[in-house]
Amino acid sequence: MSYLLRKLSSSLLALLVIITITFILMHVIPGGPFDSEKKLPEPILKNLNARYHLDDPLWVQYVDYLKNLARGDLGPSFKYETRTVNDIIREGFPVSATLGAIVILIALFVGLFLGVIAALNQNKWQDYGAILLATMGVSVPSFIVAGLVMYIFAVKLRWFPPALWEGPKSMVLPVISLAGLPTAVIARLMRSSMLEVLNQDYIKTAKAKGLATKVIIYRHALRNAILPVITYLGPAIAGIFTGSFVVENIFAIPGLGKWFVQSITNRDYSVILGVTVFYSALLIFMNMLVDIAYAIVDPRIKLSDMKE
Amino acid sequence: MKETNIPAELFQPAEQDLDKLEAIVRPSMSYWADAWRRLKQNRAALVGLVIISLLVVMAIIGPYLNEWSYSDQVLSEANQPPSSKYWFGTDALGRDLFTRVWHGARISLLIGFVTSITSITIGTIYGSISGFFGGKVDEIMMRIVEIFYGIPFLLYVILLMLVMEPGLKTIIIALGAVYWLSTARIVRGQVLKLKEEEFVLAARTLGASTSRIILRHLIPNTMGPIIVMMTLTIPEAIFSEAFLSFLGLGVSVPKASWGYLANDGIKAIRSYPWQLFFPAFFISLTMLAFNLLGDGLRDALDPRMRK
Repeated sequence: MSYLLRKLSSSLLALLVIITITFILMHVIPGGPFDSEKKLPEPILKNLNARYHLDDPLWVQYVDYLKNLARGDLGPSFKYETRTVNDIIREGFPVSATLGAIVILIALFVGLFLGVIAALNQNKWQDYGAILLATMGVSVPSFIVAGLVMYIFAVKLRWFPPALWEGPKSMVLPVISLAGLPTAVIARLMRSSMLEVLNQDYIKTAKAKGLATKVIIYRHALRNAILPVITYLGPAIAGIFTGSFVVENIFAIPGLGKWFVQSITNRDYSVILGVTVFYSALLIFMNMLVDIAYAIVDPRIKLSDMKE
Repeated sequence: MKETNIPAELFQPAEQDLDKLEAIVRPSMSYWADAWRRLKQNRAALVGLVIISLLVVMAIIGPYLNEWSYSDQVLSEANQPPSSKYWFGTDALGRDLFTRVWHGARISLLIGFVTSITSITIGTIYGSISGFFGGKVDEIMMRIVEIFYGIPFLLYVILLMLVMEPGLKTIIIALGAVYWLSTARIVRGQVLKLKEEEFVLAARTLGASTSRIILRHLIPNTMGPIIVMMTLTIPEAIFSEAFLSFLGLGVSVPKASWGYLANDGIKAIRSYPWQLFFPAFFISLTMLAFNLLGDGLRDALDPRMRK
């Protein structure tokens, strides 16, 4: 299992690098978190800094931060006195995760379907239609889709609410905005890998054996063609999360993305730091799951491990 | 098989002129001429190329086509719909959107091109060094890439933008710093394959130095994939800039990139939808054009994709 060990150690190292970089970046930002329009009196500032341990040497702060992280404590918010970063994540993340999960499921379903249809009808109208859709999906950014569907379906047609997060009806527009890109990429990946697989010898063998086309496609082609799509899932999840920063803001969805953007505007460093570390850890964990899934689905990886 | 009898007198000796036999009938075609021939057959890629040329021309002359500059405010004429006076309408401060859209095109295209060139250069150098030296060097260098690959890069661009002072230069540095990773991977893979070829051995035997082999022999031979990467990085950079401007981390006012204009437009979507429509249309058109061209270039330049 050297493949998985290697991936695991990479992931842990990546996480440490991320925490360190984020920590350093947040502390070299010119101006402290308590700078504002009217200058605070010196003693108050001193007390505030002492309260949040900002007067300790940097490396002490760093070690403290790591220690707290190990306990799962991401620290207090500098701007909202009564809230911690953990509170904010606990509140916002379930919303963002629900949105993200729906988006990835729909993107997988529609993307795989489009890709397979396109590959099976290569150079026919279904193929051109799917390619056209996919190229558009890659080209139109999520926030523009969000603006347009909001204008058409919420402002003009009034089919869906233009904002907030109340019930399934309010999910439709944000999901459409976010799902476009991953759907398009999955469709493109699936199409090209399906075309490649359909040319392989084992498909010809299956055909020669006299298997029904359906069986060949579902049992032989699909299972092999889906591999590149699995590797894309990691980046896809990352893309959906970053995309949700903007989409959650446009639709006023109380998710983590909205909090994150707000903390950028407020320059609330501990929240920025905490959410970044949280997202990075989550993505690294997801990538690891994807790698494991890949090793399970693709037996060639295990084989190469045994040879080593 | 049926036997056929052909009388011997029907046979005639073939003309044997060695000069004619070895003559090259068709003009020889360089790699680039061949690629251009392929690209010309790809209608979608040509459409992309034409759109990009038009966009570049409009970015250059567009802001001068009417009497307003991108920062002129006519408050009495705020939020005007498109008309013969204001071709794309005006924004909340009475600024002419036509001029602002083409001014935004300059910023977005500039960011696209410069970021792409910067990141591709870094990635190419990094990847070719890693691939050429192989062994431990390669292991460590690729391990670093792998670690950075796991980082959600837009988060890091956001952090970098917070740390550095906002502006055009910062965006280009921040984006260039994250986009080189995939180029490094691709170039490394190519160099790893190419360095075993005879022409590298020949160059080595003739006493070429390592840097000469990398710069004069290996990198030119990976130009195909590099150009494809470059074309496909441009729309990504334009998208990221728009995204950052959308979060309020882009270029500073009164300069206006497309992302900034789109953000303004979304705020006004209920009453003045054209303020979103025009920048949104041109962002999408630009990304579409570069994607079409990039896909076409990949088919034309990447030997592995050839059927």
